[in-house]
Amino acid sequence: MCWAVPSVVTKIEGGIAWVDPGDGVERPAILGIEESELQPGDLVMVHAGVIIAKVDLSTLRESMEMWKQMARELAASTGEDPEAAAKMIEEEMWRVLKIVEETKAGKRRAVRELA
Amino acid sequence: MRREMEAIEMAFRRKTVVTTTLLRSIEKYSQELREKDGDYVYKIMDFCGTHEWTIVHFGLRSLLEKIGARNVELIAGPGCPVCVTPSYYIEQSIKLALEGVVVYTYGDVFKVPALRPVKGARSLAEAKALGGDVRIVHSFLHAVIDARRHNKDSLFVGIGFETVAPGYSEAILKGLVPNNLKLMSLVKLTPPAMFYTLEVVREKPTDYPISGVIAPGHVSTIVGGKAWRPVAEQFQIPVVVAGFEPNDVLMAIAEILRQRARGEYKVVIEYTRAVTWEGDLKAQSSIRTVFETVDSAWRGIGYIPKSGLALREEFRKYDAFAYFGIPDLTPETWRYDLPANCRCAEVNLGKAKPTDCPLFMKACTPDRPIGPCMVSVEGTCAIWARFGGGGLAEEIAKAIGVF
Repeated sequence: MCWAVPSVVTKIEGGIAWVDPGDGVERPAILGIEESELQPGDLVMVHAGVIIAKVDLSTLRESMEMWKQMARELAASTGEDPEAAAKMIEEEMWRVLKIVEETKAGKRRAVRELA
Repeated sequence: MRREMEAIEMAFRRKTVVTTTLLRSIEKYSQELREKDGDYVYKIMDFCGTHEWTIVHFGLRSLLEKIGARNVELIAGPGCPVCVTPSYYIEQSIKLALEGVVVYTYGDVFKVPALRPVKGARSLAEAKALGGDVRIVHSFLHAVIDARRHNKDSLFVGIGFETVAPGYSEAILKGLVPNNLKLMSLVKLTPPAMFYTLEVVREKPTDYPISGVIAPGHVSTIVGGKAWRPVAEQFQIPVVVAGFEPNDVLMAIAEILRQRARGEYKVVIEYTRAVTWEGDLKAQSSIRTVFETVDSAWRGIGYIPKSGLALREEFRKYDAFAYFGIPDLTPETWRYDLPANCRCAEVNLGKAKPTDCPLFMKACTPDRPIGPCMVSVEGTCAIWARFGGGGLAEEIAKAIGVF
């Protein structure tokens, strides 16, 4: 029921979006969600040819915060330093967050070039 | 795109410190709960077939076993549209295919066996072999594009949950659907099914009730986290809307156990990268404009109130039931529609495991499925048959230092 493929929007024309799931072949997809929120370059989830969600990578920071909270509670229960445990998660995630920053900056650049 | 996907894969699959933290948290809360409740078994229902895929594919049950969380059990739910679509509709589609109608279908519906063969064909695949024009498509839009080319009478077998519904409704509202293509709306709704499932399991007093739910992540992109609040409140159990990577599911399990240990029952969205509390309002309004909520039959289970979507009267010209004169099922005409000995309905409701079924991997295999749960990539039996559990998952976990 939830099987979906991450894809990139390449263009939006006449109420239909064209998406590339990573193999270089563009496929048409129906915009299941609000069109005004989408633009070429966005990462979306496509389920049976329907765009059902825009993936917001900046929320990976939120995921990290959830894990850090788990790590803190775990450390507190075993007498370890909660902040050191949270820091370990941060260290583990730095490369991921760097990629997020880079892609965001890259997208800003791409939009500027388009304009 | 590669970079973005890499970021997600790294965070949710390859970060062993995160995985270890989550596993140790699960271990901690399961111990806390055991100290409190002794042998009580905390059953967590992973409602969605895609979550079951993640759990089995990545061997998460084996990991729980390994850390000694024996009071935690993951139970697969009914989140597989192919598994719950009544045989009657498949039979009607086969009949139309053999009468010369072009039938469009998703790949897994193509293979699903009906209970009663129609003119010798037990599935749409067999109807095609007998000369029927059955075409596999990935989406409704492909059918729309293809049907425009030939202008012959065509049928789209429209199974699915809330995730595909906006695809059907938007195509109709945008006027993309040609006159020769008719939609057989077999869309099912998840929240009523979740209520039903939790009631059924609760009504079986010899067994433990469901203690928490991992809610379907992509259905929630449409309906929002808010759709699960009634579930959490009525059953007083935590509900976590989770993504589909292993660390997503482990986080959901840890959060459910954390809430149980604290006596809480909240809806938490773990899948923040795609799901919001409100869901997509445009999709919700588009679905409401085109469809109305109706009582709907689930294969092997029967009627669940307000659990399906039918086209509204004003969109009757797209309706396959009206156009082809197919009488719809009613509670009076529905009959139990699983093959003898197949336990697919109980597997869907979390009352049996695939391995409890006498047919599993004996008569019923992915190559020659008997019941619908063995067909789809999201069917619990098919997932268990393909990926099993134990051995390999444990070895990988050891090799990357999770243990």
